[in-house]
Amino acid sequence: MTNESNDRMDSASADLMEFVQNELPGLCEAFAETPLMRLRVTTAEGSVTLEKAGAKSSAPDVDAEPRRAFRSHDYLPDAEPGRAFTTIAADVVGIFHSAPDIPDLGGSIVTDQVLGYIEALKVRTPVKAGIEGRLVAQVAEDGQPVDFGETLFVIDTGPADSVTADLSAEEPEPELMTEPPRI
Amino acid sequence: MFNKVLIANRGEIALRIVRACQELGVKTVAIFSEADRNSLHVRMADESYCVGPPQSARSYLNIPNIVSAAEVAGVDAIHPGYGFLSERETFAEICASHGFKFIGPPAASIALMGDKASAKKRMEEAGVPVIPGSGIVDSLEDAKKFCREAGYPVLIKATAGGGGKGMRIVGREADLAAGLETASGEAQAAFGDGRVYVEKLLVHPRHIEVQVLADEFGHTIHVGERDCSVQKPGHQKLLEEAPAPRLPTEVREKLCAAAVRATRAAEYANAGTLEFLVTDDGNFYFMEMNTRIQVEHPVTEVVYGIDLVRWQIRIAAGERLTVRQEDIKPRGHAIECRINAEDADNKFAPAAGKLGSVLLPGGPGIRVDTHIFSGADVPPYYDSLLAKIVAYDRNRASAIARMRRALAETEIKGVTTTVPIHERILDSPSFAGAHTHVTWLREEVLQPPAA
Repeated sequence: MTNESNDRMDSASADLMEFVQNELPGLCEAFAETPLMRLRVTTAEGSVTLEKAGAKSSAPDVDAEPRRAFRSHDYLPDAEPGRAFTTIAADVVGIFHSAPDIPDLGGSIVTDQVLGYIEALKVRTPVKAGIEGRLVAQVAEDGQPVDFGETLFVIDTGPADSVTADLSAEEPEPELMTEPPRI
Repeated sequence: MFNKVLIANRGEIALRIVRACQELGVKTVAIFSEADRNSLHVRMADESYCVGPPQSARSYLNIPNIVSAAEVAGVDAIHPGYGFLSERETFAEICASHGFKFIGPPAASIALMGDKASAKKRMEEAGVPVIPGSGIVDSLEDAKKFCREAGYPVLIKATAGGGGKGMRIVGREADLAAGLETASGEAQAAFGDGRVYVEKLLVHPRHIEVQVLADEFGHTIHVGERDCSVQKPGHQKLLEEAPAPRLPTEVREKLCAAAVRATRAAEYANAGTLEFLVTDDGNFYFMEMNTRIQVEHPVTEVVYGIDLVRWQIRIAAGERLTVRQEDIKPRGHAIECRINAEDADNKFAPAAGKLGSVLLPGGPGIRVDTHIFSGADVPPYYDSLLAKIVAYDRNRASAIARMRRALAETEIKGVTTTVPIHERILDSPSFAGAHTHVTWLREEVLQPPAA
């Protein structure tokens, strides 16, 4: 795994440095557990790209590299004791765009906040945070196709116990044999 | 030819379509629900998109997500397979309005044949025999007149219909008045609508269907018939064969000619199937048209040496159907056994879970269409078809022997399957003599009369 950061290291990047020192070790650990190959974290001051060894250096080319099914749509594991990370996933299929007013990384977000849009068939479906916390990472890149359940954002939701209840709440009941019988 | 096709289905039929596309040099896009993430059609396709959670209503029937996936992937056409969205005219319309070719018939044909009343009317106009019905009964005299013409026994049905309520079988004229009264009373109580009609009741009919192919320039042919009389209770097919055994040549010719007339009358294009009930006196009656590829299409493919799914794609791509009717000749006999995750001894209750080891048959004359493998998941959300085993040989008796051998080779651990009930069917003397009909399985295999 290689970590690469922007050269511009003046006083204005104090926030980024703080992020690198405080959050990055945990985020790296979480990233390692996912099958994602690249993760770019962008703030106003600069960006950090996490990349796994063996990943292609250029941006993923959807046409050249057929997408396979084995992508993680699961929640990232806790990055550090006492904190919980959760993910915001796409619930429709389309092209992802982040919202123009998306907060910087580390910025706080509220439940109703629109973080981006998924566009398909000339319809833009807003992606709402659905949970309060701090924006830790944007996983999907602008203009990237996303499918159902695909991770778009990682949110730091604070102390672990406050979210565990939330995550387990909505397990849908299996619905048996919803197809009409075929003859 | 298309560059890229999205397959709006799962399971063995999705694989069947992926294979046909690959042979035509067409790229494939799979869709899947969260329960099918590790399934074979996803692995075999060039691209794949998750379109929703496990429940069909939110994934394989999720038209916005499926059409969005088609747009994102940049496909030219969508193949609906069978079940799911295959016979919804709105889906065919939506595909067309977004610039995707629907690999199937025109939406208008789906709508026409999907509505029982309009289909029956159009078929009668085209001279295709339908089950004689009286229309709403206004008086006992009218009902008597109809029954004398159609012949007893008859079945009284409620217009509001459903669940057997308001249905009565009447065997002779003396019982007609009482039957009408009871049926009408029941219908009034159950549906608040006492109107009833009378239909000729067919005794132990066979289910024989005709495969048709039509291109978009009006060239229409039939590809012979299939006998699908071995059915579970509830009219679900379990075993199919081609050609239909014990069917006089004259009846076969009339049946196939009627199917071609029906297809033309429906202004149909692509592959379709006309289902008929055939009685022992050689009469046949139109039941319905399936405006899609069918589960049992392989028996036709092996006996007639024609690739139906490839033709579906070629026809949709605007190619002409180059097969002529005179080229369609059956060779040998084929039988298909549907291997379902079901317990035949417990009302065919579906089973689900993780499969253990899976060993499928092979060797001469055996074709297996399946999406399962050792360790695969069988989710509870979808229909229970695991595999279709097709045995082909020079005649029916040797095809039966070959199927017995194939079933004995089959090992599917982890769920109850329909392999044992198929073995019982093949061992039955009346199956060997081709004396099956639509209630034969229930009456003679599942609940055989006491000896």
